[in-house]
Amino acid sequence: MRLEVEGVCFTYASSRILDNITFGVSSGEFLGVMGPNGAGKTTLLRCISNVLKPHHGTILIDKDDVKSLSRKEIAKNMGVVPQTSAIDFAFTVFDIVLMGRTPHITGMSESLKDYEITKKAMELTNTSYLSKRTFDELSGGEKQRVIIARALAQQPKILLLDEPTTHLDISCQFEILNLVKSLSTEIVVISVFHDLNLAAHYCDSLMLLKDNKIVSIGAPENVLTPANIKKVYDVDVLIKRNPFTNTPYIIPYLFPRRNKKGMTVHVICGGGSGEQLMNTLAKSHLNVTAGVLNVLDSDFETAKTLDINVIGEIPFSEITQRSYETNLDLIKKSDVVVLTDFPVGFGNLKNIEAAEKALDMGIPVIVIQTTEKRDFTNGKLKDCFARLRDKKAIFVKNVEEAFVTIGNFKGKREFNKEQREVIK
Amino acid sequence: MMNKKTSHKWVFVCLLFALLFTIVITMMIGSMGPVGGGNDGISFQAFWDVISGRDSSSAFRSIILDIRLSRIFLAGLVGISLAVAGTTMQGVFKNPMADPYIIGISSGASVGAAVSIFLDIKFDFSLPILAFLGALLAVFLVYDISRVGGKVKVETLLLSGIAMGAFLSAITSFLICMTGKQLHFLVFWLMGGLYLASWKVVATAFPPILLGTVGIFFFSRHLNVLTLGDEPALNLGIDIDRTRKILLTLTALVAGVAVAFSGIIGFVGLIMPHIMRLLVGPNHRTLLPASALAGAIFLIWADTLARTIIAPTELPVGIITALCGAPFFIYLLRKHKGGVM
Amino acid sequence: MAKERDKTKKIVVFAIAVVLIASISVVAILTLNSPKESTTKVQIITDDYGRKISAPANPERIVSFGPSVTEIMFALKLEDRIVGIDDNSNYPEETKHMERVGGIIPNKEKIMSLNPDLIIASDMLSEENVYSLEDCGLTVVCLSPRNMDGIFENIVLIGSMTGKTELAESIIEGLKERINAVTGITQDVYKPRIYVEYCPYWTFGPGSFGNDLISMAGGRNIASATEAKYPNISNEYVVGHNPEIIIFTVGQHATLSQANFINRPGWETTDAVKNNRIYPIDDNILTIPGPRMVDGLEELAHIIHPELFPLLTSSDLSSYDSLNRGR
Repeated sequence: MRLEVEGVCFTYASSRILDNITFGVSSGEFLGVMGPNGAGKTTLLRCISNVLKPHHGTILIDKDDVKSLSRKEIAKNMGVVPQTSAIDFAFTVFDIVLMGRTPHITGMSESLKDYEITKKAMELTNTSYLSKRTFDELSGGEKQRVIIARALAQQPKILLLDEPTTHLDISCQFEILNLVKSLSTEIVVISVFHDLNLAAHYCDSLMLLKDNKIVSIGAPENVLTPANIKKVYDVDVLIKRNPFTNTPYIIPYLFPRRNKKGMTVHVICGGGSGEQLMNTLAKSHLNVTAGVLNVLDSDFETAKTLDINVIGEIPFSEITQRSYETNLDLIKKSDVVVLTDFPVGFGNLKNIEAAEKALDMGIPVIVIQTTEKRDFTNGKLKDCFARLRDKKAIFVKNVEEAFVTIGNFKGKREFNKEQREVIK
Repeated sequence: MMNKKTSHKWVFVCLLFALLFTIVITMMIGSMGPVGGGNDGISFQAFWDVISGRDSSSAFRSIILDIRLSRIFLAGLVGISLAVAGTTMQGVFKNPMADPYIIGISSGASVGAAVSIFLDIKFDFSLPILAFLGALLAVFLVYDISRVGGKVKVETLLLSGIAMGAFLSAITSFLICMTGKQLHFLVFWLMGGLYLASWKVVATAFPPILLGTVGIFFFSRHLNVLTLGDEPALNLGIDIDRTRKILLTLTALVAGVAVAFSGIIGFVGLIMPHIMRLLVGPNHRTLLPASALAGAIFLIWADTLARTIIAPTELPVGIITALCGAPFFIYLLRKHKGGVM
Repeated sequence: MAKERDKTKKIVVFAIAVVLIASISVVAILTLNSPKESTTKVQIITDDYGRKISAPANPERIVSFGPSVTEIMFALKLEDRIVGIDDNSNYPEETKHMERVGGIIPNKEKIMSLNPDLIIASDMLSEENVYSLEDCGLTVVCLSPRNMDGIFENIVLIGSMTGKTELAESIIEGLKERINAVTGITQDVYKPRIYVEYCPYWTFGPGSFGNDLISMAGGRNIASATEAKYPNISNEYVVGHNPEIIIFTVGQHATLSQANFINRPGWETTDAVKNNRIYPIDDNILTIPGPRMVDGLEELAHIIHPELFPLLTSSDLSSYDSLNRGR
């Protein structure tokens, strides 16, 4: 079974809802349709099921134009699961699922076969135990499963779902989408999603709609790029890889826009010691830079995630002169430097030296020292720290104190004044 | 499911027996007795003579078999029509307040009847024919003005029905003002009554009511699916426009004929479907026949009261149905505040 | 399982259908096979609706449906032949003890049980009910006079049907004499403006008996220029036409008194209210198209021209002696 949508346009009250939509789906494919509210997703589904008639374009089901088919023929091949279902009359669940057989029933009443198919649809959706209950007594998840069962009773070759999991809890969401996914091996499944991650997880292909047009269509990793998402949803995101399925995993970038006029804090860290600090700093209105970090270091990853300008160094090597100088450049641009509690060896000793240089430049340095540092430098670290003390670095016991101290800073120049006074 | 089907079967058996029982008993009740008559009424012996055929030519025979029995049959037919029409309208409009008159049937029939009286038309069945034509015309108009861009939405139909009803009521009132004589009769007719019953009337009313009712039964499944909503029904393969048109036409036929011969009898078409839905559920396959039987039983009893309670004067049966119907309706409303039926 | 269910259902439906059809056919056969009425002599008459009725030649058991019919029959001394009357016939006194057969809606069972051979109905009985009664095998003659001559024709008709032709004619003679006695005088006098009311703000318009009677009694009905037979009138209209005399009916349906009229807005400017010429009249003698209408005429004449018609002082003229008052 192949569904072809060619050049479909739909206008409603003189505003374009769909503009030149073209795509195709075959059996065994699970297509996810996404886009902001009002992009035309539900309208597209309605055009496919021929509830709405597009003003231009054609929709072909296995080469048959949908317009030329009778309602019954369409219903024999296409099942639709809407967002919500309100059923005013006290029908039992079995009655409702049995209604899915309507397009197939000839004559006055249902046949044995119809009853069997209904039972099977209920088994597939795990709704058999609800058989005798009335529909409106059910929970949201149960209702949705019943409606899906009804659509399945139609024995559709195309299944359309409109936000099937919006009102469901997480276990229901997975249950339903797993079911739908398993069905999608035989039939065409098109589903509208709001949750990008669910869509990325389950769909074979995705379609992004914006401003009534298709922005992107194809495999999830190609469609879900930060650029596309920014274009369509106007949201900054970071894309990671789902470690289980290797599909894209979207993390919205929730931190507020950096106020470029605010203070800049340069963090020298490593080994995970800078994670909390960088997170906290990034959430406040401060610019943050970091360096130098080993690219395999978790702090490096944190910095990257937080989109912090970080200087990375190739693994298993000491800090090169170049990195060191770039670090100093960053330090020069910052207002305060924070040195976290990380294990120091010959490889990253230069980071401590950079902190010293910061003090020479007149930039205040906060040193977080929770315990005696593990010293892999045969005593050189001790000397560095002594020098830091001499140059009036501020020693604090933990990240919170560091943060408070940063909060008290009013600026480089001010500190210098204070520092000179202290020295005096 | 097995249990439900068997319990439904029992409901049907009970209803059928109740109907037979009703017909037999109400044949004995009337202003001439044996039950409800004065001392000069028919005695039970005389009644039995008539039934067994021994009495073949007296006035008593005419009273029981011609006048009374034909009236009972007409009451049954009208009861069936109104109950089935009401059930259908509640399904098509998905509205528990819908009754058989909702799309302009009652107001159209009133205008037809008023016209026939106003114009002093004097041929047999002139009033029922004009009432029926009025009902059909009103339904046709209501459907036509509800058509927006080739589609007819259910909400629009409802509102058009109300608007048309108000408009036609005004015309009827105007005709009433102008008609002077026979004003009383028109007012009585509007209140509903089965006093025009005769075998001729029953024979005339029976075919269209039978046809219409059976026709609606055939669409039970469609009605079930229609109640899911427009879009779900479309997606399940029902041509909702065509189905609705057919159902509205059949309802107009059935209710129009009923109204033509019996005036406007309220509450039967509104209440019976609700009661039966509580007993047999919302599946129209069982609901429609059950409502039909219940409607017949109810109206036969109501009419028996109407023609006996202050004999020899007759009370309009619409008053009896309203007196029974209104309190029951209020009870229903309070019980099912959630709106689920 | 389902197949079994289907089968039983089909059998049940079939059984119901058979029972229904069978019962209807049996009843139909029973009723249709009832032997026809034995052949009695008939007379063909034409009623006021233009229908040709074949009525029994000398009806002995008559149901009177309408006060006018009842009064005519009593005038023709046919009260012994009356087996039933409608709810609204309440004149004369004897009617109190007669069998009632219903009001607007005839009680067919009752009528049938009285075994009448003729029903005479006024236009109180609507056509539908007429046809309905005829469906039971009853003979119905409908009377619907439009004017005084029509009433006379009704009297003649009933008289001729019951062998009372002579009496009918003498009654009519008497009535005509009395009418002429009034109209002879009122032809050339000044005709004051009259407003007559039978129900709050409802009056007699052109084509109604009340209107005709007023003219004959020497008055000018201010509503005679309106469009309807029984128009609803406004304060404006009445005050604008300034009636000199107000006459209102009393009886079953009326609830009025002189006080009502005086209190109506603007009416105090009318001559009638200023001169306190507001009089009651029995509504039956103005609305029932029978012999008592002449009583009504005389009463109206007395109210409108008291100086010309002083003899009649009581508003209750319901005595059949007056009919036989030799003049």
